[in-house]
Amino acid sequence: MIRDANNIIPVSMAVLLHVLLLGSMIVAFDLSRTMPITPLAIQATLVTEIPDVTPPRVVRPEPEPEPEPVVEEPEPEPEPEPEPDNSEELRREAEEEKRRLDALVEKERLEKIRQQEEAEQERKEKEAAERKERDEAERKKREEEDKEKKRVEAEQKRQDDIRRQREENERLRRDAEATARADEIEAEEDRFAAVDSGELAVYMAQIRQKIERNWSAPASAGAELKCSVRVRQVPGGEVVGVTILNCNGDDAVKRSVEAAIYRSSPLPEPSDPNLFDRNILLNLSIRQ
Amino acid sequence: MLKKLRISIVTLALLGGYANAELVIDVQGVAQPTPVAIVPFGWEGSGPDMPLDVAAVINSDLKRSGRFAPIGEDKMLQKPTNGADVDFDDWGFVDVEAVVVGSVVQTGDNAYTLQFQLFDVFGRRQLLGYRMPASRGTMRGATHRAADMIYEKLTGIKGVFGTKVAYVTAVRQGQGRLYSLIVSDQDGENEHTVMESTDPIMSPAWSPDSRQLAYVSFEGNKSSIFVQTLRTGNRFKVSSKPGINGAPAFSPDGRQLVVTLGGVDGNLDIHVLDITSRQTRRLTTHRAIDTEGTWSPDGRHIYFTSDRAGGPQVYRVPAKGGSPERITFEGSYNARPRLSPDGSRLAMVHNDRGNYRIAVMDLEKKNLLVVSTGRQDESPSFAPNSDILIYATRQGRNGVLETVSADGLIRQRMASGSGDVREPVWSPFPRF
Repeated sequence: MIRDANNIIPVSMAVLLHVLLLGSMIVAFDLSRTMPITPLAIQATLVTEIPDVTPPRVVRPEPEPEPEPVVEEPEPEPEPEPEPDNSEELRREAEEEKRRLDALVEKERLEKIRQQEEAEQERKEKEAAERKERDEAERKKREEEDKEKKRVEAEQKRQDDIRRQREENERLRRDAEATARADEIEAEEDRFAAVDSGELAVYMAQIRQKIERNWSAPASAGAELKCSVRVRQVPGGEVVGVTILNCNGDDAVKRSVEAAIYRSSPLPEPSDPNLFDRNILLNLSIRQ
Repeated sequence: MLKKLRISIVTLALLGGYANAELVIDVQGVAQPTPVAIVPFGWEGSGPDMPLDVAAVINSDLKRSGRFAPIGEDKMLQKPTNGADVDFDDWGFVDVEAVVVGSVVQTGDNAYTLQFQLFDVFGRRQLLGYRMPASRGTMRGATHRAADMIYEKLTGIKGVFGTKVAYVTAVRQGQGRLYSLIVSDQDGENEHTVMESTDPIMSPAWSPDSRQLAYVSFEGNKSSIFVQTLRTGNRFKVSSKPGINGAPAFSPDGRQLVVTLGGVDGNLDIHVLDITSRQTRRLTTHRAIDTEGTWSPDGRHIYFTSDRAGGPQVYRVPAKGGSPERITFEGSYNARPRLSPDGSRLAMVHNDRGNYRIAVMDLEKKNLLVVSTGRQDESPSFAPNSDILIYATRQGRNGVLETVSADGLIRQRMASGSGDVREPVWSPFPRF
């Protein structure tokens, strides 16, 4: 009822009346109460505070709902004096009123405390949350740093491994080269031996005869024809590549040369394997 | 010590570039017929067979040229009729260097499409592909044209499978003989009689546009020179002067004929006759026999036979007139000159140790090559690609026709008319 905005004016007037009465009759009336009360609560400040029914929040400033009604009543009008016969009743009423007031004040105070405690609670929670966030961030940061460190370590290790592998390969290669060179020297010696023995001439003649047999030189192949062709073979004599280097014949002649070589695949193999050569250079002409 | 020396030599050799070592072999080839395959063509149309066995005609053309050796059908591992189905390995396996595949598709009552593709087996690629429309009547000509294209692609020489030859036959008929002037395909098919007579026909000659033949006819018991249009059969007499009228030959522009006229005194000489005006211009005046005139392909000279030196030799005189100069000096008998259409060679009848044979002379190098082997060979005539000659030779009592390549290496007997066949002349390239 006190908080109801519509009752503000009559209530405030009634309270004022009683307070004035009490104040004029009892100078040092010691009220026996169960709860202590601060003098501040009774003085004018309380009067001005009560109309402000919505207790002010600590956190949020709120626009004053209706300050006007208070302002419109700047001077509390002195009420006409009631009859002195009502002193006992008045005193009872005053007491009641006082009790109500005290209760209000108490409520007010409790409310304030509660609000303060709430605010405190909020603040504490906020702090805790912030602390938690900070801790979390810290933790993450540490984690990241750890990860990074591990990554760098792993990378370093990888690089080391590669370098080691390379060195190993290099060494192997050098070894292989040395072996190959030694092999080549040996093969070359064998070759010289084979050449000396006339087997090379036989081998070349066999190749020549086979290709000549398979070559259908076209009519356009004149007496002045000269073609040089590189033939690539693999062990076994199979022809894997034919490249015409220089040829003064027409397309029909070039086709016939290519055909002659492929028709002769696989080429004859030498009796001595050391004579085998992957590359053969053919010089083709027309028999006169 | 020796081994040490050897190793050092070897090392030097290695340093000199080991990677360049390779065998070097000299190969000498001879012209041989190229193995090819002409796969039987596919057929799509009414009736069980295509109007002409196209593959067989192409096969025969290429084989008779002497430059190709087509393999038999029994050797073919596959018989595709479409290029997409050709398997190069299959053909390489049987050693064939080129393959022809194709088909004939009927598109109308008397309309067909002849399609063919030519493949290089070892190069593994297509060389030619054509599609040609034809009717039953033109199928053979279209097939020969295909054979020409294949021939030219594979040899670099223009094919003459679509050309014709003219010749004279003499068949015994009762007491006398029936002479016929015949035109046929160069393979002897499609014989058409152009003129028939109980009196001799001689010296046929083709006009440059291959539409007309000039010839000598002895009808009416005298010699006259006629020019006959083949398509219509119409002919007109161009020379019937007193005495001998003989040996006509067209000029390269087709407007004139070189002819041999005997005149009243019987002295055979070379004259130039304008066909339209029938006017003649005398070129030789020597009392010797001057006959068998022929034009050079550039139209500037006329070559002829003259015995002014004692025996027949070949001479030439500027077509506009001038002094004749002697051309042949080898042997005692050189007659009946004919130049190759490319102007590089001269064919003639040459007496070779008692035998009358065909010889070919290179006009630049002046060397003489005997290309025939008979005893009485006569009447040489070049094909329009200058690569083959046709001539008449004797087989028993009859004359028969033979062809020989200009280098003398490839000889073929030509299947020609019955009886005594003589005086063959090869047509120019047909002008479409």
